[in-house]
Amino acid sequence: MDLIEMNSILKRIHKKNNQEILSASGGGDQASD
Amino acid sequence: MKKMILFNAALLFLLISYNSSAQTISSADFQPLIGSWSGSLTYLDYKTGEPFSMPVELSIVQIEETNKFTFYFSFPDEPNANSEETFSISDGGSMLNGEPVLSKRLLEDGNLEIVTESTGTDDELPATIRQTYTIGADVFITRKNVRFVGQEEWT
Repeated sequence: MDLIEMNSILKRIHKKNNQEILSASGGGDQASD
Repeated sequence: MKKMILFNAALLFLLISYNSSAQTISSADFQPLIGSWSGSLTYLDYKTGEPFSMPVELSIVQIEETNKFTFYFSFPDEPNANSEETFSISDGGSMLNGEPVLSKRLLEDGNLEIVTESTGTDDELPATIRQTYTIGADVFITRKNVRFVGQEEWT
């Protein structure tokens, strides 16, 4: 095996009025859109 | 003198008990993970040594009232790689996915950090594999570090 999963950074998806909103807080990458 | 030995023995017992209880986890620790997540997954290509990331969506559900959680991975750029994985906490909470829990601690930002460590193989070489899980209400981070046998540095 040559590809090894090393890390993942995930943010919670909040659902509001049927729209998915990515949490703004937390220690990971910021959402780009 | 006898009292002193008894006192020290009791103290040692308490310290060992405290230490072992700090190294167990429960399904309650994973409750904040239930729901939908979005972010990126980073892989390391051992042939080139280059890391690369891809977007991932993750949905986590608890299997009824058990100590098991199903992780549904969805890759918008690689639908063929969509997969699911079961995370399981052992009875007594000393193991996660069959790997011994090394530590569990509350971080300053209020997130929970769980570290497991096991021996196995990585890239077909014997190694110690450490998994770090950071769990919060709005953030979920996993990190894998590998130390190959005979090496001191963690990758």
